[in-house]
Amino acid sequence: MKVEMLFGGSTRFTILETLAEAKKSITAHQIALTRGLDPAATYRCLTEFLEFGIVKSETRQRNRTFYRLSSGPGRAAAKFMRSLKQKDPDDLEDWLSPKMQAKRMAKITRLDKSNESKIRDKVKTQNIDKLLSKRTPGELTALVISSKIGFGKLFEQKGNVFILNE
Amino acid sequence: MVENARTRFKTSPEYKEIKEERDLFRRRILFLGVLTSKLKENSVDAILVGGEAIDLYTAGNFATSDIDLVVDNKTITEKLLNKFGFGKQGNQLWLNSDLNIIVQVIDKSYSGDSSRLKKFRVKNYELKVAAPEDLIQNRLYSAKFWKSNPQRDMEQSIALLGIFSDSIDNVYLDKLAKEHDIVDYLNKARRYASKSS
Repeated sequence: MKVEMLFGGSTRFTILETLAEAKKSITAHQIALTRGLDPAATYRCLTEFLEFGIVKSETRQRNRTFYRLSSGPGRAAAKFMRSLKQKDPDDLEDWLSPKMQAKRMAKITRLDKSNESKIRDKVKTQNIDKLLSKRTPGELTALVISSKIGFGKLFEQKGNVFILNE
Repeated sequence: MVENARTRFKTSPEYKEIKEERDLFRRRILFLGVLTSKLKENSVDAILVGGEAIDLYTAGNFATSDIDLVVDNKTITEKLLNKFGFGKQGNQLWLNSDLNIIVQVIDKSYSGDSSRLKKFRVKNYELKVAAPEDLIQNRLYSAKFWKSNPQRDMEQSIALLGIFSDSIDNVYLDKLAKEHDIVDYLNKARRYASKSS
């Protein structure tokens, strides 16, 4: 049996492993990029970990969210993970039994259901107007207009092809 | 052998032309044109996605640090980049400090609609670029779920909506928004874009 399954899948395991190895806080995007994970799944797992206090997050410049393992449950989870990796696979054979699998699946399902609403609530709380108010009034409009004019000057459209002007 | 190929390329007229281009925005487009045409000669399909595609559509107003290129053969692409004087930096990033260009090679299949790709002609080279609608969806999804840089993602979506207000396929965009659960973010971006264009 693969140790990853104890964590409900390889994504959760890989995220924990990455955070345990990281020397400083990292973003969900960085984790996904460096470990080849699906970014949305990475974000969802981190949100779960956050709810359970396994990770801590902090929002820095340009509203980027950085994650690190919490000193209590986070470090304990990483330690647990490391100890499991060192175990003989036979020790984990019990986990393969249908009874244990059904128990785990029931727990995971409950976990997913309880977190779905929490994740969605969190998504709703992001204030887009606040996000977009960081520029001086009119700056974004000026950028959009300038981009439109610039693109029109740089490229001539012929049918479906944009040709770069010399 | 690689060293010889690299030396040959570095003394080629194409490389000289790229290097002599002082404007970084134009240099990157020219480089992309050369690279994708060489890839095509090797039967490799390449599509420009991500920040550099948005940089292109916004005429350099939303500059990015790297070029994200989706390819259907990573090995050939990396060999070619090596020949072009690029060195691997990790995380699939390739850097040519001489040209000040960073390329990220993505060897996954293109997630957008291939039939909607836009074609760009740069001198004698042709470049395939992700459609604005697919880029908007990608950015709004990133703003809502990844949250690595939501301000940038929202602004880029608004810019694309504003620039292509006359040509954007809103039916397709609405379909993408429903599929990816970003209808709320799309509506918000549209409101801002209508004020900006």
